[in-house]
Amino acid sequence: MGQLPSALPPVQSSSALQAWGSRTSGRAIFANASHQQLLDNFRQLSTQQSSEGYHAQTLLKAVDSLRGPASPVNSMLKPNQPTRRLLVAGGFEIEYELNSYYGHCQTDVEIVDIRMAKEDAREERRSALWRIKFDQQVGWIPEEKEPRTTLTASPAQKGNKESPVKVGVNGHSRQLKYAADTLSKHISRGDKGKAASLQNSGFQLLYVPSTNSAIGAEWVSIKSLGLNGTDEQRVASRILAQHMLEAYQKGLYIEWTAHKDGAWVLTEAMRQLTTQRIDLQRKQKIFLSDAASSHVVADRMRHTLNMDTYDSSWHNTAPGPAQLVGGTHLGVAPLLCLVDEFRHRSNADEKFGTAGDLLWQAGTKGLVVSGAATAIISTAGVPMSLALLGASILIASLPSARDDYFKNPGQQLGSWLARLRKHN
Amino acid sequence: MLFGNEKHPKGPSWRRLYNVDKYLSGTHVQLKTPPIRPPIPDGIDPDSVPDEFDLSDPQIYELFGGQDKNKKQDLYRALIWRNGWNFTGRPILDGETIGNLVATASVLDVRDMPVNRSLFQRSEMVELVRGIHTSSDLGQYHEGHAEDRNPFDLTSYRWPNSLSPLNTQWLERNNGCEWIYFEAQPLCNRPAEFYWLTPIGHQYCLMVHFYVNRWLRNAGNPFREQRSPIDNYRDLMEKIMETVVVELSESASLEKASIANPEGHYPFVNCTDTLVKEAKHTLYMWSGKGYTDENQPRQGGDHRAPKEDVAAFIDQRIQPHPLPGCLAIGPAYVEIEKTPNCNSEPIAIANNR
Repeated sequence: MGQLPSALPPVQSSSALQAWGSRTSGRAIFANASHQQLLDNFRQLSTQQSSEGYHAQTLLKAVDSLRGPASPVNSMLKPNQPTRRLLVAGGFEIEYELNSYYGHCQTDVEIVDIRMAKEDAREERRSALWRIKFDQQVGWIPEEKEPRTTLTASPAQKGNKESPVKVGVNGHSRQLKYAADTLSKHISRGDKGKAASLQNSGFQLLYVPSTNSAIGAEWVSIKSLGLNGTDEQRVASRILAQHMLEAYQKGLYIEWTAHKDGAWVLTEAMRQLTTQRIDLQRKQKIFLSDAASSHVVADRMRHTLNMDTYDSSWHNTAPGPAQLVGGTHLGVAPLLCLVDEFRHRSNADEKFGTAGDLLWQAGTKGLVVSGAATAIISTAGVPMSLALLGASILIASLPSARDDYFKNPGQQLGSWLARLRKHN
Repeated sequence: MLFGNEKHPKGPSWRRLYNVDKYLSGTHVQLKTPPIRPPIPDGIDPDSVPDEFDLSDPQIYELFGGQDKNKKQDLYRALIWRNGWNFTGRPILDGETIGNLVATASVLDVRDMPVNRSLFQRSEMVELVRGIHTSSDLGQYHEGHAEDRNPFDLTSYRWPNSLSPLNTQWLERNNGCEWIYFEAQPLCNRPAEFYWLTPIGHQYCLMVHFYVNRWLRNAGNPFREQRSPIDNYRDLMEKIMETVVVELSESASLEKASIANPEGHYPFVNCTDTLVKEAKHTLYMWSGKGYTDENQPRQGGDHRAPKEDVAAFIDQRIQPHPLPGCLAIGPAYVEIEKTPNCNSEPIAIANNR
């Protein structure tokens, strides 16, 4: 990658840097001759009405976004290199450096490399946004053979309040097709009516490839208490942040659903957006399914971004080890979310109500249903809650349908028993 | 065998079977299968479909192949039964699944049947097979891409979705019932498919459709999925199809008796040599999808399989192999040059695709 098409002759000695494009405002962008040529070609291509044209537009927009005062949401530090930065998108990657030639705080951008990654995205080795459709004969399959460069509404999901665009983010998955199948269950929340309408409308999937095996992927989130992701997930989170920003600029209503480690990608993308002080005006909402990363962080982010938080349920967890350690902080996450609610988001009149809710939650849910840690501290309910917790972890760790959507551990155990019965 | 593995996926046991009985306006379809073995795709519930159908009721039908304004078609289908079986590998290491076999039975309603024609005529069944290709994604083409990584190449390539029909044959099964059978080899991201069709009326046809998904790590395309052989899935399918009994209703039997097929004449529909050639290229180009070659850089490397290997696989895949009860079997493929007549079957398919 990174090689230029050989058909393009260099105009001048290719090491000389020159400013590219007109500089009306913002930083200057410097690029060597071959990159300039490449960008000029893309500028021509961007006038075409085709998917390549859209791809070119996305790339030019990304380059122009480097002129802005703040780093774009889809940029990140290149691993192990303190000054070099990467701007990542589904179809390309731009490596650049921020230079200050004159010792002022005004900096210039020097493009080091532009790498086309469309092939890698197409071959599922790089995160990208895919359209998924339901084929009557063979089930959920990708609608197109190429991923999409931009997040757009489809005829069936217009992106307005009544029919929001549904986007899934997968956790560990062995293939795109498998991820599509799994996410379809989670986006329809295990509900048959919703599943039927999803089959008609299809959905979009930010596919995050994984290099690990299933057990390895689980271990990453346990080891880091759900606070860290893999390299692929870091790149995916920047791409997702860009799509989220794009949806915000287009005013689309979006419903994001993240499964397992996908929750980390989603939360990290939201964190990128918070640095830009964006108000989403309750047009986007999130749902975490079996999240292996912190509910508390996700909850704070969605409030900071002013996402739609009216739904009473925004997460569903069949607790496995990763979900328990990373996702719910050993059970105290619901309480922490409420504490946040109480401290930051309740006005004086509501305080009593929230406080009541908090006490009630601590008393019922906290101690008996999910709150192992609080229970241990308060010692009273130890045996009971530990037994329940142990049982639910055990159920979730059974070699059963972990990728299915379960409403509670009981349902999960039931389906596992049903399977056991049918096996023998 | 206690556990399966990739080379030998473990499916449901054949010890406990349950009966499926469906009544289609008097025609009785009966088969035996093992119970559902979850998890399988998109919430299949075998009990949610009724057991009795009135074939003349338009409510039960939907357009075959889904709504698509670009396709003109008059082929409808009614789903009458659906089930699926998960196949497992090593416990924990391979996760909960390494593949599945899904089976559906449906009634096809051919509404644009020409006057005085009937599906009991073998030639009409062959037409129907063509219709299945043109009205669903099976016989369509998708957008391909160029060999090199030049982002400024705007050529639009068209590649076939599947290499189909393969291994076409006429079979006689229980109760003197004649079936036409064919397979489809996927070239990008569809599952492998198997079709069984038998007429149950002048314009109605029973279609039993099987598909095999293989969920393997580091194998996101049909060529790499070959790592895990399809034999166990195919065995289960053949076992199920051996139990199928179709008893035609009185009126359908009369319809059947009124049609005489020329003795020993079995028309065929086969894939063409051009399609085989296109398929080799398509499968080769996609053989890097979802696959990481350890010797290549993860980003920007060429992860495709050697061209010769893919071609050899296709050559081997298209060889006909008769199933039990085979009455007649078609060739591996037909050459267009040898049949210059425009009305000949292969060209008709090629044009429709």
